Amino acid sequence: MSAFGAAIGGFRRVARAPALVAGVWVLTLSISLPLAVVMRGMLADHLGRSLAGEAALRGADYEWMQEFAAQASGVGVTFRPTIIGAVLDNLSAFADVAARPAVVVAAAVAYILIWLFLAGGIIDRLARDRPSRAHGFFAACGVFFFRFLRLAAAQAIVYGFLFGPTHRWLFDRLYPRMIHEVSVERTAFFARVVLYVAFGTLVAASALVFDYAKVRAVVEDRRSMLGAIGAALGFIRRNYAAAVSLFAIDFLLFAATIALYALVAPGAGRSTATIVLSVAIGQLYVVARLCVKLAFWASEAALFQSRLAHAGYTARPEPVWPESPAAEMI
Amino acid sequence: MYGIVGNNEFEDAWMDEGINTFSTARAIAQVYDPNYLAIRYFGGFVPWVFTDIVLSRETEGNRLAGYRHDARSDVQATPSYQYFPATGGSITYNKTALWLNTMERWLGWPTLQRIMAAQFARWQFKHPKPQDFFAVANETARRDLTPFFDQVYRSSDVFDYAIEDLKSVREGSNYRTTVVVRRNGEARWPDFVKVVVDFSNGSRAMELERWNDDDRWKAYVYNRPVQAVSAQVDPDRVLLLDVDYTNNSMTLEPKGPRAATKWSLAWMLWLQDALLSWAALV
Repeated sequence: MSAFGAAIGGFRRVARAPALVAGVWVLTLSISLPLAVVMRGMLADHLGRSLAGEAALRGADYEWMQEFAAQASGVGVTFRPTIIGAVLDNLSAFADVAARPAVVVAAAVAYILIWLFLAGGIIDRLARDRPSRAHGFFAACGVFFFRFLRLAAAQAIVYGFLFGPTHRWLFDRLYPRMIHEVSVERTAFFARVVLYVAFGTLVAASALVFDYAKVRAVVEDRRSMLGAIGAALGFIRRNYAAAVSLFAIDFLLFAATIALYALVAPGAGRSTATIVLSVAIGQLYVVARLCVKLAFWASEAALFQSRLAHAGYTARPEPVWPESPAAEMI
Repeated sequence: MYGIVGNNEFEDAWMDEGINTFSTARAIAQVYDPNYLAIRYFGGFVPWVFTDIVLSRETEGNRLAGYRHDARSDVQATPSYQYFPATGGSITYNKTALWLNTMERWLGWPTLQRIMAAQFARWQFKHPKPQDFFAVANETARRDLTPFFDQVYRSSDVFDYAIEDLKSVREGSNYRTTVVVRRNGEARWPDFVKVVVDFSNGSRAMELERWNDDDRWKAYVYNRPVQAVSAQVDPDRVLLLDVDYTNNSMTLEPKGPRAATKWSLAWMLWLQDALLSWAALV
């Protein structure tokens, strides 16, 4: 199977797993909605019965936003005009490793931990390419959670090194040296783009290895995560062109999703209809992002299975519920 | 004025920098209309214009947000080199621009223009002190502005007028409307404080009253056949140094809850996008 074929196969696997997509969307919503409710309370308290409420409802009242920010605490400090559109702010923060308030970091940590728990079940479902039902899904989640926690320790070390010392060296030490004598802005911009590409390549290469480590762990029922990383490196080395091309195709899909949303994203809604439309388009974007995330794993599983096994193969037998008569006796 | 009038930058930095900030904001408002919020991403190289947000000269141009944060940090009359370093900029640049713009809205641009022109004419190639500027202002405006300068220059008190309560209840054939206006800040506006109350039939009641130092609140009561809709203190926003303008109004038909829902949903999408960005590393 070619990289393009694996990409198509991966997208089809995601399309055949609507419950999975719905599940991860509900997960994303369940993490964000409670905080949004807290934020709503803060905003409503600050607006009170003021006429500023009318201006904030009609459009974006920047002066009120500033006044809110001046007295905000906790989750409230993240309410800034840059939330409009959202995408650029988060991408830039990701690329520049901008500090985020503790409450956002805490939410992100919780979200990542839940993804770690679900990853086994998700990859198992996508690798089998047939419904695993709730018990099969969560059985796989349980089986792989602690293995993926061990893998996450390795990920934390690698990403910590990349987003910590490496990023600081590139952007705080090397970049100032590169532009020290530069007087033309576009030259400095070009230098920064080169560093973003270099940093992005390192992150992408790491993500590629860890993705295949997870895929191999699930498909081959591997227990050793160091072994899975070694196996992932071996697979990528032997199938370098296909693995990298597939990652590039998936990344292009990710970039296209963001670009499309940036094009159609409505600003601050003014009427009830535009507000509802804005929320609907926003949530469609979230679903699309989740589909792309799943497509990475699905297409990588499809490529791996086509090269080393066969489509839909997983070494671990599908769990049966109830497990056995003996379990019933107990 | 800068460069020709020899102000003492070391002790009275506001006489250069504050007037510059005021003038810059005034010029930008005329050249860039509308002036949208632009934020630069990716190391400051990728600008993004937020066409939903139009920056106003009065608040953004004069940097009200920075002043609001640091308003009490120093009395402006303190020699500039003795300002608390982290907040000296807000007192030097922002506060001056805000009170000059307040003067413009209070006395009118022709008057302020004459004050500026007179200051320049009188003090070019000389070394004026703050009291010289105040003397020119008093003389040119033909009124004693000392109480104003006492508040904004010789004090670190903040202005904050608020509508504390608005009630409009039926009593017989009329509605009894009660408006309570409160002075939350220590600073006191030295001229008439304007309060307007709008009624459901489109009529409007207006109060103009001077407040004494002891006045912390005032109540206005109306008996009219129609219910009130809203009340505002300083509805024309003459007093740009008011650090909380959200509380300057109150309505009986608040849109705050709906606005809060709208903006919290927009914020939720931002959070979801942030979560997805970091979850890409899982």
